[in-house]
Amino acid sequence: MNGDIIAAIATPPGVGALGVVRLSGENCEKVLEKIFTGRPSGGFVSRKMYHGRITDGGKTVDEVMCAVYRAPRSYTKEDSAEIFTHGGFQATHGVLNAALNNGARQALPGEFTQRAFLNGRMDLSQAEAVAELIHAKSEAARSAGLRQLGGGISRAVGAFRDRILKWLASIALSIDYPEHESEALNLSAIQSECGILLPEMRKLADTYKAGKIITEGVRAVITGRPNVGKSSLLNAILKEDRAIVTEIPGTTRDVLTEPVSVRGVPLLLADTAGMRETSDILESRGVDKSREYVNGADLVLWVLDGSQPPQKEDYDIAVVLRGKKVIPLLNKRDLPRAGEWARMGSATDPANSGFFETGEEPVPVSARTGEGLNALYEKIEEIFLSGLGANAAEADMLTRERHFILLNSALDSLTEASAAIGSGFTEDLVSVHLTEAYHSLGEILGQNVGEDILDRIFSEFCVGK
Amino acid sequence: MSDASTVAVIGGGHAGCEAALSVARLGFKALVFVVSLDSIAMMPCNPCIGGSAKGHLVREIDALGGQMGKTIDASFLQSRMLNAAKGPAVYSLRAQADKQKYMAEMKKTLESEPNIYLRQNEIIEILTAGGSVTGVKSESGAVYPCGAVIVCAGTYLESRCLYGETVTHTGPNGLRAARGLSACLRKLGFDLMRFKTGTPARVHRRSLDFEKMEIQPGDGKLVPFSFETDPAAIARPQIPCYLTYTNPKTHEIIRGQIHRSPMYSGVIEGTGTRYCPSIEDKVMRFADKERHPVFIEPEGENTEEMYVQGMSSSLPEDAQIAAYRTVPGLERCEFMRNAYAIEYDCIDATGLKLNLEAKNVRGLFFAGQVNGSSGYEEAAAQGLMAGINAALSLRGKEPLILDRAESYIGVLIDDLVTKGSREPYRMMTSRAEYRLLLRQDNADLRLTEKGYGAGLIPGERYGRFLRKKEWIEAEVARVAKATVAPEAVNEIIKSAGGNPVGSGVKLADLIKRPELSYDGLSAADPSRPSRPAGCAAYVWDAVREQVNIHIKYEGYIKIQTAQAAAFRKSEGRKLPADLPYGEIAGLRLEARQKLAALRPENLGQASRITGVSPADIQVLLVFLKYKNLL
Repeated sequence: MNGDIIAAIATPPGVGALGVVRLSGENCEKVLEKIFTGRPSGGFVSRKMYHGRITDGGKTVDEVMCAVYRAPRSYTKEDSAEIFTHGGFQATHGVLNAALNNGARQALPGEFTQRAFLNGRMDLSQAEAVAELIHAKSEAARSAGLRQLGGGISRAVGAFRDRILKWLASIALSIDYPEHESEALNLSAIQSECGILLPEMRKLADTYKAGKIITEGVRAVITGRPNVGKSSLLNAILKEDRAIVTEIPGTTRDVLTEPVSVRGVPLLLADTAGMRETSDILESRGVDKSREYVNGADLVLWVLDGSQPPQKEDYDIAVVLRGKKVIPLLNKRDLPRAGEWARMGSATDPANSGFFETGEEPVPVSARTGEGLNALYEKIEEIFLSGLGANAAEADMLTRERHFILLNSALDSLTEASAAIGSGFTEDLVSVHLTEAYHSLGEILGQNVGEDILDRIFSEFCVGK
Repeated sequence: MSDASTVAVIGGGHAGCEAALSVARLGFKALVFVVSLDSIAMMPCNPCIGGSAKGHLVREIDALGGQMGKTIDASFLQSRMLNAAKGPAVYSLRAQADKQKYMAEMKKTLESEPNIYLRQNEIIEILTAGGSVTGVKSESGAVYPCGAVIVCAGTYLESRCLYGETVTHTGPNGLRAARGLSACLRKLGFDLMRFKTGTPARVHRRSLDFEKMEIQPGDGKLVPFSFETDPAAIARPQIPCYLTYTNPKTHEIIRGQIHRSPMYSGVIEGTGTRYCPSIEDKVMRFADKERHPVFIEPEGENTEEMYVQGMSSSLPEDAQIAAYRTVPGLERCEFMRNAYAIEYDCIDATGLKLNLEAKNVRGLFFAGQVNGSSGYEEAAAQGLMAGINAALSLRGKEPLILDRAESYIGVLIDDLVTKGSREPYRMMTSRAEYRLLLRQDNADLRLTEKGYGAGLIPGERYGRFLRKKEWIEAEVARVAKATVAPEAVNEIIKSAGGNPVGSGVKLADLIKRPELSYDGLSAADPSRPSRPAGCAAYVWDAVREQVNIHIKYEGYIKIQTAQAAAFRKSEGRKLPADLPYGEIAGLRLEARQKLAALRPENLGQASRITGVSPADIQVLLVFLKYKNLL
């Protein structure tokens, strides 16, 4: 039970300046070897800081600092490591996922503390306290887990699971009661039913993107060259929505972010406008600042002054924004629009390639009068909640990473089962994959596997001598 | 007054026979008490040994040095390997038995064992002193001192047989029931349950019309149950079985008579099993099913009695006959024995340790149907393990406990003593988590070492086993490195319907293809060894089969081996018998009660107790560490 490598985010959820992802378990450096670029050729020295990038499947996830603590000189008294990431959801979860994809598993509630205790890290008087903690945490996780799992989701997962159970029971029937083989589904029937189930499961997995945003919030940043009206825009948004405070648990009110809800999309609005733009700041520093904020954002509100022609700085910022989700805002629509914008008015106009390359139509707004804000909100809603239907409720979306990972692992197992059938593999092997899928879905629901398969056989088939 | 060199075995059924033989072969005097010397190793229900998962059990019994496999090899009428198209993990051997021959062979084996003493006498009391067994007392008042007792009472405890309004206070086949032992067990602190099972009628062969049925012949290629049996030595003409079906007329008669069934009128108190429902259960529970299969199986070579599998019943005799006679081929069937239900006392096996010894009485072991199981094979497996463990315990040695990742026997015993049974328990492949490892073909590789360690496998057999193992390992290692050229292999691949290879390829990769096999590739593998001198042809067949399976399923076997290793870690964490569960604050109340009542032997077993959650297990871990018990 203590042999494997566990990983978890050690810092509280929400937006902080830094995040910490922690690993523990014998030889956990082997996970770092796969995901961390900064490992010195001679290997890590314990308790020293290293700089590098975390990569996952060839893609860079974050630039981090990292330290290795060899047993027994660590919190858990096992080989451990801490990765210091940038703050916020994407960086911390990206790094955690990289670890999980490369040999670590998600730690159970209280597991670091438990290991620390089991390895003699704490004195004996803490034993009862730790026991309480494990219990309290697992209870909390369980009830939170149930709350996190909306009714629609748990029904859907339950139904998926039930279909897999039907196949497992059918295979068990044909194996344990060969004389009733003709009543069982054959493998090719299971494969074709698998072909129907897989896309349904994928569709549910796809709701995680929106579900995650709904619960974790969209990191949004307002950017643009000085004096285009960033502060006014921020104030306009805040003023309208001041009363609507997002209910994101554990959101730290970073001095630089304001949580607001726009049409049900929770935004963590980074207040770059709040940065003083004193006259002695060089133009290039303004660009640097934008770059810094833009890097960590899920959404960029790019403010442009519609009353003036585009400036060189605007073009510089356009370069910085490449590859990001951007909504360009043509501010000051209450003033006459500069003629140049008329030509640049459409993102889809080939003439604008390199400028509005995000593909989003610029939205004309007036931060001063509030005109055009509704169009902006519609756009935000469209970007983050599209495809969910008008009545999309949180209950119908996957919102927890754990559920998403388990659903994906069920998808993988089912895909393997289907492939195994396709390659002519036999019942004994196919059922290995189906059982895995069944277990993964059961874990989402917090259900253990008992005699489900047997119960199903005896309720559906008339067998026996 | 106890006699540590003697073990009393109460009962001479399949559990009792294995228990007596293992005790005796391990050097102890086995005193076997039976209600009738003519009923040793009796098969009161179906005339067959093995089948899905049960066949695995018999192979395991043989691999450990038990008897059942050898005896059925000597007495079978027909043999089949079931599930041959569903993968080697679930291949299941089943043989139709000549009941009389099986019984005679087994009785002879017991009688020939110098350390076994057979007595026809009913034991009514188990004597104890200071929490340990000291002897047994018969109905005549005779006292037999012993150091251990193995209760293999089968379905005889306070049993009664029922059909319709007829109730007889007998054991199976009209044999006398065991009276008195139940009361003694209650006094010793056991919880008794009431279970029920049943058997169909036996009909006269001459009264059947086989033309109306499908014939079910045996397999052409014989696979014996025992790893020690040469198939050539047991070749014989096989006797067929027959298949027919019930029909709406049958079901109509049953529905019309159902009020006369003691099951439905409430006369039967015992809990029946879903694993072998009576025909009236099938008809009532699955009303929309138009037919149920009925197998006609011979009971032996020297009898005309035929067993009607699929139609067990407790309806009145006239209703049974009327229902049977609606089945094609049975229109004129003559009943020789009617179908009946039997109910009996059994213990709640959660009162036992994993070595099948009672938690509260030292030296008192239980095996077989009295533990809430059903089936000859399940009984024999428990009998063997109880016998071995009674002997080990008298020697003061560590018990032999097989785990869930190494044997079906381990799954069987762990299920019985950890979860208990709420209905007669039948072994099934779907109960085993590590099915790909627990194949019937490799039972010797899994268990013969353990049988030798316990003392049941003689040195000579062990030597043969080691040679076989070496041959397998050497050949697996050679194949893993061998490569084949495309020109050597493409003809074979094409004729098997596969895609040819373009360049040199690893032999192992080809064996992994579903359409190819180790044997099928022999022509492309010139350096393949031939059968070593001194290796019997059937042993060499088995070696090649192992090499094929080992390589073909390597990936899956690796996955399950890793899962089994993880499983064993928590199995390895022993729990002291006197853990004060009531005082462990972090445990939930239900877990505290369950753990205190069941006293699991290790952490893994604790985690399988119904009502104990993963968080409880973590709390337990913390507590053990705190007390320096890990």
